[in-house]
Amino acid sequence: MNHPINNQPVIDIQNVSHSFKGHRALQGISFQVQPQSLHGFVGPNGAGKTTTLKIICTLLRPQGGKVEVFGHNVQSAVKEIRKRIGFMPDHFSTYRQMTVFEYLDFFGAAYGLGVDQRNQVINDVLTLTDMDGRKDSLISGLSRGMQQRVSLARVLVNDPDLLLLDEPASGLDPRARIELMEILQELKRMGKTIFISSHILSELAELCDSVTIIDRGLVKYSGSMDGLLTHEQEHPVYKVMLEAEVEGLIDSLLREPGILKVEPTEKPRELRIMFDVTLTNTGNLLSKIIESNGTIESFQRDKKHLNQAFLDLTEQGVR
Amino acid sequence: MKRRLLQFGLPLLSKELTEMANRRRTYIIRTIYALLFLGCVGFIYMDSMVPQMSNPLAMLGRGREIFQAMVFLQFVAIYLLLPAITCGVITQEKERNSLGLLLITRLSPSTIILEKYLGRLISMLTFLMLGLPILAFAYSLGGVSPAMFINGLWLLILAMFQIAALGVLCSSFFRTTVAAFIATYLLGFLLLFGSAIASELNLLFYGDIIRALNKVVNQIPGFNNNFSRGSMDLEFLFFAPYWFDRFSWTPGSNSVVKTLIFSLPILLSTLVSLMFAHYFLVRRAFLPANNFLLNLFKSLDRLFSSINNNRVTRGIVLVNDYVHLPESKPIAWRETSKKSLGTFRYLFRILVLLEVPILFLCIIIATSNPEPIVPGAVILLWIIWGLTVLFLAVSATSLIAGERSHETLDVLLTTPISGSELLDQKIAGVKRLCMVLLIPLLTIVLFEAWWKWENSQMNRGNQYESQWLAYLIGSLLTLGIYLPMLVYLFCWIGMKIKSQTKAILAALGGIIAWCLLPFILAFPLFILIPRLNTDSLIYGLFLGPASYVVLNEIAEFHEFGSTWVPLVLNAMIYGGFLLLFRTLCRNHIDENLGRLGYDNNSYYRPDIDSVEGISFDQQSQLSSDI
Repeated sequence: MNHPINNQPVIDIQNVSHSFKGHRALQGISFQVQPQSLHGFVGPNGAGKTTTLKIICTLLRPQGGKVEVFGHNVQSAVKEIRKRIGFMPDHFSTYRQMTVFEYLDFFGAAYGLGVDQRNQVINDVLTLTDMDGRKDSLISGLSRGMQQRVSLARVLVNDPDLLLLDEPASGLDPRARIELMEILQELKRMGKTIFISSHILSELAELCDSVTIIDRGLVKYSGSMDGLLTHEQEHPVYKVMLEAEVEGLIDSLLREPGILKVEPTEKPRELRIMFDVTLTNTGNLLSKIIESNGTIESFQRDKKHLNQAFLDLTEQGVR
Repeated sequence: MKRRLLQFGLPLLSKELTEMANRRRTYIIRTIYALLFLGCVGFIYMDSMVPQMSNPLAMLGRGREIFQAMVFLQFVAIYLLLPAITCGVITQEKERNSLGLLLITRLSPSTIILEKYLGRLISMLTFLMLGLPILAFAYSLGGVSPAMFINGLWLLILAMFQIAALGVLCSSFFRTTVAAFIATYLLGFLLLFGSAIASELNLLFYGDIIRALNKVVNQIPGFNNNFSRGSMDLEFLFFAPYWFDRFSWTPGSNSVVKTLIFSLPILLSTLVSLMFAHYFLVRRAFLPANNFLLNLFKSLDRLFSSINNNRVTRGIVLVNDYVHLPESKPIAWRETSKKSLGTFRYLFRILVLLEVPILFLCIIIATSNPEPIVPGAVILLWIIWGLTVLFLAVSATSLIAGERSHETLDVLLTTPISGSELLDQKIAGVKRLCMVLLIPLLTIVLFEAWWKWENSQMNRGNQYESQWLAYLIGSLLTLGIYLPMLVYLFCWIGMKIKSQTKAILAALGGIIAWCLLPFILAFPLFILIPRLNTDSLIYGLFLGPASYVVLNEIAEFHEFGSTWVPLVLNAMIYGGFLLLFRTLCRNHIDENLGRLGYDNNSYYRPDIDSVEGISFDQQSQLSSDI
């Protein structure tokens, strides 16, 4: 089910707060998730990720603020929202005494699909998750990776527009994790909006278009992944890898107007260069290196690693 | 030296005691127990002492009644509370995956068992010590002989050892606290009363054997004076209150010696339980998660199949047990096809297992007892009622609490199925179970009604004992109201309490407390208003659901003057409770389940090509993209 795309955000959270027994889990968070995007939701333990997810998927009533999913308020259009979302919690949530097919058929029926439809959809989702060879296996006999695939297949049974995934890769081995990420990319290509909460930051950086970082119930950053990785960099920083060391190159670059900082990195023959975009540009920078007899092997924007961005934005301390 | 001290430091015991001391519920339960206990003793005191208040000298020597009452109340507390206190002692470690950590320490299995055992004994001892001031008071009034005093204390301590050891054994054997809890009560019941019941029903000529054995024992010189109550002495070998009652009337050291001798079987049963607990601790420490009931039914399957494969029946199949996939009600399908207590084939097994012995026993009873009230049938009915409550408590509380414990509830709640529809479908399996349990209950009721009718034709029994129609209508109404009432009550408890184990324990504890409610309420009432006439409060008995079942079975309607008034009153009270629990379950169900609700009660079922909601084309979006 792919609804026409418009500019309306799929998830629109405005100033939402929620408390449990005096503990403020969410303190007025706001962010949006755009259609057909893969949005990462990152935060340390106890930051409020699961609470936010439960509010979005109509399991919790927000105590303050407004939450809209597909333009519907979660408090008033519960049924409409449930039809269009697929929620995968941070545990398997499988009935272990059922076969894979029975489990998916169970949820197909729970979403009100007819018997014929269910057969077709289940075969499709099993193919997508590469589980068609195990459809008659008991879930209790499957590995963690396979059970996670079954969970993902279950999420897809009602062909939702929005997938809400809570730590989908936790406890999986590297191969299963890579395969899961590939499936998610495939789903994104198919036009699904995916909201994924995860601790595995390196994978999120590669996978997500946008990200929200939350800490102690407050949103620390929400926007594009590129924006986060270049966040708080007043002047752009580039890394240049040379084929060979060039004597006096650093001094000659520093004499150029607009170049603010040149320093070697931990790698041999690599320099990190910061410049003021109002006074110079990358073309001038490259010309100057070549003029100084430097042969360029690679040239790229130096982005912060997501881990670093995460550490910079979140506070220290165990919660 | 320091290491040696550490070795004798009883680390597990101190951990147990610290944990218990840190729990708020320890103090709540202790306070409730103290209030109940003091209330009961106070009631007995008022009842027996108030008439003598005008003459203080007349009160002297009356401490015996208070002391006896206190000892019997402490016995009741031990038998009711101690299984619940001890059954989780090892299973909780298994459930938390911490037993392995204990086993790899320097603590030996026997140390683990003993320290755990001691921890729970100390806990129970704190309950019993609440009776010390009363004991001192009773002793000061006089009438309590030293022998009675020693016998009482000794037997209380022994009963405590015996039941705690049984709880530890079950905890060591079973994987879950719920299984250990049920097993401890069942085994405890069998240990204490199994012999007496088997003898009463003369099961497999057990009663005849016991009587013959008693005759033989009585012919042994030195023993003939001791078995003065006939075969009862052999039937209650493991039941400490019986021996207290048996020897507390005789003063002198002789009665203490006899108590010591006859308490040996209790001591022996304690040691055997502890030895088996030790034996099973390591062997059953890492049990895989399995469904005990399912395994039981599978072994029954094998038994029935082997019986069925004979020359006559040749493995005939009456009903094909093919599991169809759900058409439109998936939750009901799962409850009736994938759960042991909802599946037709297993329910049929339960029915056969219960019904065949009942029919057999009814025939035996009918041919041996000429009275309109048949004690064997009455006991049988109460046992089946007990089993029914047990089965319903386990299955109905687990409906929601089980999903929550297995972490499958959240995904179910994000589907568009409405709360009330979810509840209706969930209950489908329990409804089947109710129908199955109803059959043996009905069999006994119909048998008893027929028996009363037969006796009424012959004018046997008193005016109430032979009123078969009132008995039949009362029993049918009770069955018709109580079973759904229990289902909704247990289901509601399962919704409110998050852990499955706690929910089942709360359901069972709650129903026991409810049945005892009239007596619990009566004590403070009689203490506060000593002039209160017992007859004026007789209808208060119906505040507990078990009262009418008991009264109807033993036909004790003399105080009411009619069989019909109590019948109608009871039906009205519990019909009201049925409606109340049903409303509690259905109203605000979404909030109770933990999600946002909506008013639409209709089951979500979109048309295949509908534009609204999910609109799958014949080719789904997923398949078109693959």
